[in-house]
Amino acid sequence: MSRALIEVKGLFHTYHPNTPFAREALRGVDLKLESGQVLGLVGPSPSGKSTLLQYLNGLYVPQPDQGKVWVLGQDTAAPDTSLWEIRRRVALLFQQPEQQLFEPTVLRDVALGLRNFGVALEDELEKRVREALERAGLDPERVLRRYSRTLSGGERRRVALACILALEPEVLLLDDPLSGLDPRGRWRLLGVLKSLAERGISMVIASTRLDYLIPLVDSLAVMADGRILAFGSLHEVLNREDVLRAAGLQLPEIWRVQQELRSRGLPLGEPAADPAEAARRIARALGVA
Amino acid sequence: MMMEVSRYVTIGRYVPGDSVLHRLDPRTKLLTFGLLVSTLLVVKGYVPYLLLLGFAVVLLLLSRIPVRYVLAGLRPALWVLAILWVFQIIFSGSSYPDHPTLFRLGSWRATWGGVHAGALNVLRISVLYLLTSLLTLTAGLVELADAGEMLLSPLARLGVPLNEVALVFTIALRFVPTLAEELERLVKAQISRGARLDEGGFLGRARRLIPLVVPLFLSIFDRAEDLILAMEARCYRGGRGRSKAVAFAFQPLDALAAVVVLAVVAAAWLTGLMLPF
Ligand SMILES: Nc1ncnc2c1ncn2[C@@H]1O[C@H](COP(=O)(O)OP(=O)(O)OP(=O)(O)O)[C@@H](O)[C@H]1O
Ligand SMILES: [Mg+2]
Repeated sequence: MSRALIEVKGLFHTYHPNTPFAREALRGVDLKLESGQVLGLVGPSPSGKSTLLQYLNGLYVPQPDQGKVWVLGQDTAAPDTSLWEIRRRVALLFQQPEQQLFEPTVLRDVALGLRNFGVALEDELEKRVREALERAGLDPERVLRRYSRTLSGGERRRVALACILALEPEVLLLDDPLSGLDPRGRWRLLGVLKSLAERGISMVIASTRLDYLIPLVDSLAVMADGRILAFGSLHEVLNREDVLRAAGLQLPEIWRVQQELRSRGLPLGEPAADPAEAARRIARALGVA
Repeated sequence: MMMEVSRYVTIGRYVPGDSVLHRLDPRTKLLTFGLLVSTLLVVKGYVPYLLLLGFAVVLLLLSRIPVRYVLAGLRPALWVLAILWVFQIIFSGSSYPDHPTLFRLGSWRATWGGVHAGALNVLRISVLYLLTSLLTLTAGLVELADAGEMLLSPLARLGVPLNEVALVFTIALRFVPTLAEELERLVKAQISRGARLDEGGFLGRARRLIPLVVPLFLSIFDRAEDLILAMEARCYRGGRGRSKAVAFAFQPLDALAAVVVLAVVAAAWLTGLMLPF
């Protein structure tokens, strides 16, 4: 039987179980990611997004009675599954980039994963590192020899991204990748992610905000309180106003304007996320263009 | 598993509650704790140790903190305790020259004396662990620091910077769980990036821990820096003239606790002196 790229069934997770500090983070999560798909994981803070992503990276493995996780068709709890292999092919960008950098210089930091996973020969390491830095929107000349700890928050995030892009993974798990970036940085990163998606890389992107996700994702899962409230194609989920309200999420204004116009009888199709595209459709509907 | 170390760190954590133990004045807790620990260090023998262990267990039940949680904290230490015991047995020959030999290992001679000394030590450390956990689990750290400062206040007249000392201890204890969380984060990040921390034999694993040490220290320095900034931002100057957020008052309960602990300590001393094993 062929499975989806990633599949989660009835997953529960409790932090610090059997202690006075026990905390339920996941309460029965079901999820599916098909090959080539970009899935948005959206929900308030905290709703269990980071915890879920760590399961998909094989950092956590479900206890026998706490659900099932298949990544690349393999049950992560099965004894013969190589979690190491999974981590190379399904790479995770942590929510705090500081968390991911520990070598003195940027060069060594980005090279660390390449070395650990043995994906590059010693003498092509630097070349691979430079490419990855460029793809993450950094100028290799300027950052290669810098100390990771002297970088700004936004630069660190991009170095962390370079660390996982360098591995050329098949699936990217991105935990809130756009927070803490300036508008240009955000725009650039969105561009990077879009081009990766076009090359067929699958992704799961967690965020607390819908507006960043909409232009990027094909499908959406809304999380709240450790549960998936809705899961489906982008348009399907965005029309579930009850769910969005329950999760305290706001649609982008451009989206709301189109919905309002539609409810007033303007013959618009499904709303568009891109402002220029939305304007074009509205103009067409009004018979101006 | 390494990825959940912080779950097993019980020292420095506080579990709010309203049990008898929680309600005691923190000064009472500190004084009785000091008394019990010094008894434990001075007295020697199975009977007094078992007595103290029994008392610690009664306190644990009274605190209404889940027993499994406290014992889980002891679990990682079991290996260390076992190794300690084995060492004490193997190397005991020279300390007990007149004891008959159990077995020889090269030039070392194991004796019954070593078996007993080791067993006593394991008992002693277990009781010590239980008492320390109970102290920090049932009293907030600020509370404990304030209490310690008050108890030691005569020293302040000699120019000992008590407030600062109390603060240092509070922060040190509070940093224990923080350290465990930091370690957990680092381990996850390393493993996610292909480090094989959880594989290989004992030595291989120990060697792979080395790359964790430097980042761990760096992140501790970061935390310390944040703490300094936070204290400066709140104009913390320490020392003289600071009033306390909570005033302590002894209750009848404290007198009762003092009497019970004194009785237990006396019993431990007496049995330690009179029963020669
Ligand atoms: N390492 C940990 N130890 C203990 N509890 C944790 C840990 N990580 C997360 N939690 C708890 O699990 C719950 C879910 O956290 P999680 O980080 O998965 O949420 P999130 O949706 O990613 O939130 P955010 O949007 O703020 O990143 C929270 O209640 C949190 O306190
Ligand atoms: Mg998160």
